[in-house]
Amino acid sequence: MHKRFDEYTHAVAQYVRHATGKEKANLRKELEDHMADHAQALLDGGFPEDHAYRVAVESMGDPAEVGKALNKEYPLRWLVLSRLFLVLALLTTGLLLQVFPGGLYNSMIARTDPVHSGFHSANLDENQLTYTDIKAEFPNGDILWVYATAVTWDDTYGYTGHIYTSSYNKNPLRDPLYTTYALTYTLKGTEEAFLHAGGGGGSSYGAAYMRQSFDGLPMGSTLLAHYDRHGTSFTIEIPLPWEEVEVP
Amino acid sequence: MKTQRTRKQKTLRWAVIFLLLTVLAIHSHALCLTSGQSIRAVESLYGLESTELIAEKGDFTLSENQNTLLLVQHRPFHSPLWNVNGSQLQVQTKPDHPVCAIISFRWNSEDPDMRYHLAGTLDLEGAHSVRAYCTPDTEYNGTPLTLTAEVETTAQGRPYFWSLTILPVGSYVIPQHLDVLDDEGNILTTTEISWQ
Repeated sequence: MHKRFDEYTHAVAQYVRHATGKEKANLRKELEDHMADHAQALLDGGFPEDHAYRVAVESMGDPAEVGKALNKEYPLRWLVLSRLFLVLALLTTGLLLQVFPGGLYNSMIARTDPVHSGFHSANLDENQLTYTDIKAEFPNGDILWVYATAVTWDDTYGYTGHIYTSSYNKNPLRDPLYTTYALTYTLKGTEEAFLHAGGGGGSSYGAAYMRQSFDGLPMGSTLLAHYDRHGTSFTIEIPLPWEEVEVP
Repeated sequence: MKTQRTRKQKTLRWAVIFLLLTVLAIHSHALCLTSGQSIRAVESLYGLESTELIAEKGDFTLSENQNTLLLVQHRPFHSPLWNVNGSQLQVQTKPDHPVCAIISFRWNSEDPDMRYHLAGTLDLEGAHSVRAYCTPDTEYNGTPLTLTAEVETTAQGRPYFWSLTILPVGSYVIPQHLDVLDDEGNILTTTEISWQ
């Protein structure tokens, strides 16, 4: 770039106060191109180089007046509004980021591979589990998946039935609200007697895991899980793998 | 003129992005601009049918549908990090009884007081007020509370009661029973209370 052009555009840019740095750079480039075209035309017409560049600059006019005139082309209100909406958009994005991505991974694991989620209650070896596909859907779209069951036997408690559940919402961006705590349990055929369960579990955003163990079950019994809240009720049947039980 | 259009275009672009994000935030209940949207957020959270507003007191709303009574505190922002249930004071399944009563209390470290809501709906002729109380055998757990509320009627004719009692921080026993009284103080019926 010719030194004269640089000095001129620099002087003009000083008066374009409302332009951002990027806009000033673009403006200077535009002015330089314009002067370069003019100078080239003069050179092509046979004028000496120094004369051509000087005339090209002088024909642009006083840099202060040109700068002040160009400054009106950069109304401040649009810049302020633009920045305001940018900040608001970033704040809203921040709000949404807290809601959405946190549970996505956990939710996907809960619906595909709960045993290896890190929250699976490993009270029994994996080879003692019978994998099942029993699912219940709650009114808010939460899914409770009974992904495994087991039956064990010992001298103290007799037969103990274990159920392993993962909870997630159909919408992978949502946290589940309902877990096995929303259910009551009975034995099929003796629905009036509620069962008390021990167990444990864990949860993180997007998923919750529970194990429930029911001691003293009659041989061959089937669990029923009941939901009855807020005008919605259902029952799911959970068969236990009695054929797998090992009695020492 | 080209430069000016660019600034306008940038402004419009960010305005559209902001509006779309806001719509998404409202749709996902991350942002609740009104108390009605807070109610919708809790309904969505629990998967409830739409509830109708019974009464509103400051930030709090009482609403119901056929099966459920909701006591909700309006908060503009809902997110898991700030406890998505933060706005929900009580979600109560209606019992097979003419009275559905809930008690909810809230306390936080920034507030020197504890706030007890006694609210509910009832379908009982002659009901004038309600009185919530503890059974005597609970005294060893703290100071037994007795809460009262007048029965009011909405513009649509729906009877309800709702009182807010503010007490200094302490150890209180939450009432478990509720009497519905007529205007002479006679007990019309008694019911159990669920509380949170």
